[in-house]
Amino acid sequence: MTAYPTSAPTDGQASSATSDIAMTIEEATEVVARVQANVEHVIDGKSAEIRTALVVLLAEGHLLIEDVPGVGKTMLAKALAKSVHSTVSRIQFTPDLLPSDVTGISVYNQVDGRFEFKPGAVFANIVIGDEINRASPKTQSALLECMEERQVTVDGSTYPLPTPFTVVATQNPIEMEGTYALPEAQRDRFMARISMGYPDETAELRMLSSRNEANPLQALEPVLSTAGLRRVIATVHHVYVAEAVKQYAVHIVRATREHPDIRLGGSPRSTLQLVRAAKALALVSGRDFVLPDDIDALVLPVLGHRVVPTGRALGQHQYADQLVAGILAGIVENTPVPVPGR
Amino acid sequence: MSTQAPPRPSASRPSGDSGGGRGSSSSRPADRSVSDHSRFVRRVRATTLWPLTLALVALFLVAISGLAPVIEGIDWWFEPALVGIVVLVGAQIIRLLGAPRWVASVGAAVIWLASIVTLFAAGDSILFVIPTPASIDTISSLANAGAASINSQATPATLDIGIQFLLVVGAGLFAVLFDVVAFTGRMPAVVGVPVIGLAIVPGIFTGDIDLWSFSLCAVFYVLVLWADAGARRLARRSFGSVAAVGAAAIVVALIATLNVPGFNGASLVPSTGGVRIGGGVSPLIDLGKDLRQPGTSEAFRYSTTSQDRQYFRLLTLDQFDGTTWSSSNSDRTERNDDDTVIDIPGLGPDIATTEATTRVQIETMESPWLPVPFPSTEVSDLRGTWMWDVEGLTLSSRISSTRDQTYTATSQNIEPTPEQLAEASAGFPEDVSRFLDLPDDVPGTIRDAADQATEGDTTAYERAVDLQQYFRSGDFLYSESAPVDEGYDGDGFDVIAQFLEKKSGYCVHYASAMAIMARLEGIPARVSLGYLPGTRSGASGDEISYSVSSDDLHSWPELYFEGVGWVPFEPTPSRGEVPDYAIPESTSSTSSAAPVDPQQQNGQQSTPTPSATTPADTSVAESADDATPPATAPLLALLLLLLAAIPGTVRGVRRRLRLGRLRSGAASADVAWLEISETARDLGLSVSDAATPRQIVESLSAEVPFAPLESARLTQLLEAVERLRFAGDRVAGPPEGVSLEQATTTVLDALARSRPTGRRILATALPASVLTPSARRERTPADAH
Repeated sequence: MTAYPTSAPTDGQASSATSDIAMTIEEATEVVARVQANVEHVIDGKSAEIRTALVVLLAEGHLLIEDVPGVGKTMLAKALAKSVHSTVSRIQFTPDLLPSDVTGISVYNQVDGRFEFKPGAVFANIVIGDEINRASPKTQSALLECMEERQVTVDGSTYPLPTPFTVVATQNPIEMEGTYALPEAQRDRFMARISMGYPDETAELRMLSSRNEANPLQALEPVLSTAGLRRVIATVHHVYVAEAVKQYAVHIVRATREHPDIRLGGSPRSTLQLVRAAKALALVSGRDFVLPDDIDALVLPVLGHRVVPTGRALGQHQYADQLVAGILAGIVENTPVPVPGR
Repeated sequence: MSTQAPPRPSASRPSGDSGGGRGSSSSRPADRSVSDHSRFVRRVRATTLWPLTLALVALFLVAISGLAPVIEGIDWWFEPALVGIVVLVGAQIIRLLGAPRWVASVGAAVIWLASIVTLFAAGDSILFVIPTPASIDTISSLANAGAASINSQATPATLDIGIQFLLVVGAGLFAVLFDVVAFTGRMPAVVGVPVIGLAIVPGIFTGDIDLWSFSLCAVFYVLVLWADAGARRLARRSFGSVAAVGAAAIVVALIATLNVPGFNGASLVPSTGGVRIGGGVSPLIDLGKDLRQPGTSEAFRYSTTSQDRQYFRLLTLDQFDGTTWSSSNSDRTERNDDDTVIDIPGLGPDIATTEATTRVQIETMESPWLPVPFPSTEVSDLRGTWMWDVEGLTLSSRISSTRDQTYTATSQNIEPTPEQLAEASAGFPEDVSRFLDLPDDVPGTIRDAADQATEGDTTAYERAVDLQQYFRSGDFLYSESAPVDEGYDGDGFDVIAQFLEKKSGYCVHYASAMAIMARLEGIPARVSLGYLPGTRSGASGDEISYSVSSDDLHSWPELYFEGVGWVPFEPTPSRGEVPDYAIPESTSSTSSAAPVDPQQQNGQQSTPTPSATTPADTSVAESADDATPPATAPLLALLLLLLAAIPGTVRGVRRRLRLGRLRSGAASADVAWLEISETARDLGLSVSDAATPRQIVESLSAEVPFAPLESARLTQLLEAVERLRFAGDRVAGPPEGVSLEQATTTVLDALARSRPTGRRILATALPASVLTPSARRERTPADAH
């Protein structure tokens, strides 16, 4: 992957947006709000997380949901997939899962006398990768390659993945036997990471009564077609990013590289993704231009999982996530917003 | 965006150290990572502090140069300058090493102390900087020498090692203060206060401000502000603001320093009414200092049965060595008890005396000499051990103090007639003839003046009256400051010779001159130090109460007439009152009985205020408080008021211009936004300029209860400014709501209404946006990380 465009809608990338007709911002915002409302039927009191998930979907990124078991990671991924009328597949990662289970395999068809490609689970618009850190590194990298290339190459033949293509992976933060934590390079492939967090008391109570009858997921109806989703994504490309905001994003990412408590700062890819996500967020918020506030809101989800604190800084903190969140908040606070024309 | 993450061990494995090892190790175990980062930030920021440091150095050099009028020559300047530079630059270097600002200030203090040791006690110190007990001894003796030197010298002082030491110590302390205020306190504007304080020091001594040095300080002060603004990335856009801050801060500093003791007419040290006499080498010079000391305080109160106004005496000076009048520590002393009665020396049996009892009450005045009416013969109810000088009829104590004493003095007021004085014989007892001693080198001017004044006189009495008349004839002016200004303060021959030429001085000069001249004319004479009778404060029965203030300090000559004894005279024009017997015959015919109304007598002050003068004197005599001449005071006040009005005016004009441009459509939403955020800051609402417009709206909404309409206007403005700044050339829809100007006015009103009246007035008079543009934190990534 070389570069994502930051504002130009046309480029040679895997994006399908070029062929899709953009909507007006108002239409797109309205559509996205409908999807969000739909997902919130299932997951209560988590609108910020749902919005980030939608932003990643619209920015054509991949989402990593990291949290303890049982807080609704998979539920979010499924609800998101179900709200959009698209193909969904789910891979439950286990240590014995093979790369070919993910990508697909060429099988000899005795009738035709030819090798025939059996697509793997990855051939879907939305791929839910459950407990991705339980798979062996080999299998992990097979998936991550697909994420990056948006295509599968088996036995010399290349099969493009459908568009849109989004992987929603969940990861269990507690290390257990037989888990293989994603290395930095692979975490970098995910546009954003969110944590679900525990629901608040009222949300948890409501959940008890709503789950009493049936799994609400069953009742969920798609509110957006794949084509519709593609059009919204195309609209995101038209969101304007001012020079000042670009500078702001670059300043923030550069600051992570220079920060003394950070061993590994944000990559150039993260800068690209930060701006792309900000464009999607602007659209979700009903704007056709990006505000520095959009960047601010996305710094933690986009950079949080990429930034690696120094061992010494970590030694002082019980929770690495809190440390990173603190550092990033400090950077945001100390980075001035360039004011155009001054 | 996400909620708190649960505990989780780190999943990261070491990879390439792209951090480049920026964070060097820190010794503080807690929050080490944070401290590393902040140290790095500090190091980067410290480099941006160079301009401010250098500006402070420049201001420092200018400020200490302001002391020039007080010290002779220019040699004194170099060491204090060096120490100041070393302290300020040293602290900056410590900051460059990444130390927190307060550490740098502590370092500055250490550098200060070390340089004192190096300069003055290097020989006794380890490695030239670490003091040893021996070097501490050296330093403390230097300090004493300096203090003594200051006490004994008039301005401009001759530079000696003691004064040099005090200068270096003071200047270094000053530099440390600069550093603490400007860097640790982050208030570079406040350095104006000590600077102006220093600039007026010569004023305290010489009575006026050197406007040149003052203006120079002001210029460099503005430079400091500018450098500070530059350090905060402000210089380009707000020179006007900086100038306004400069002007305003000078006003504030002036107001502050005018309220500081020493310049505002109050005493430098909390005044106790105590006297310095005896502290220095020359009692008369000390008296001059006490007189010139700004402010007055009550020295003591008394009520007396005397119908005459009594002079109170502290000390008698009977020896003159050509440079100084001093007291020959006579061994003719007697310990005072309640029943001790002292004879009045030389008093003839025919001389009429009136006994008076005087009850004196002293509160805070401290002196080793007791103020007693002359000539007192008995003093009772004193606490402590007091010794009479039976010749001068004064009381002193080595160990007791006058503080809180209440005592009764019985005095025999002598009332010799002119005839009795005229008949006094020319011979003197053995022990009186020493009051004629003078060094041989009497300047001709003094001798000539004495001879001229007494030409044709036959008796000692005539000569004495003529000498007094010589001074009181109107040729001489009373001035406490002229001798100091023109460099002839004191009581030596040279000084008196100059005084006789310039014909301007204060009691010390008159008393000393008349005593010298009397001795030249063969009349035994001495100088007494004490207080004028003071101000009448009431009467009950036959007792009259008076209050004596520190301004009533006085000195006068006493002449000896055989058969009469010691007789005081009053040569000082416009001060004190001339005794009946000393009034020239032409005017004394009617006043021999009761000189109750002293105003009749030539040029004497009226009873209620000793410092007030009769019209005849007003034209010629300078008032005691001439540090701020009366004519300039209202002018200065006006100037201050005008200066104080600058910030508010600047702000008001700015607002009107902005609203005008908004109305005419010449200005964009940015201007409206600037006006709103500045107004919010003026009103003390927490607005950080590093925040995005949206964050500002959020924090404003949290503090200000906006009505829905106002909220809508604010949102309208917010969207306009966001679109302007970040939407590029994308065309906005048709403008919603009202005009920008109307929306701005609505929001401004809402902001103002939400604050208490006092805050609003403050915002109008002293707007923060004009006074402290430094609060605008427009940072670049360079100083943010």
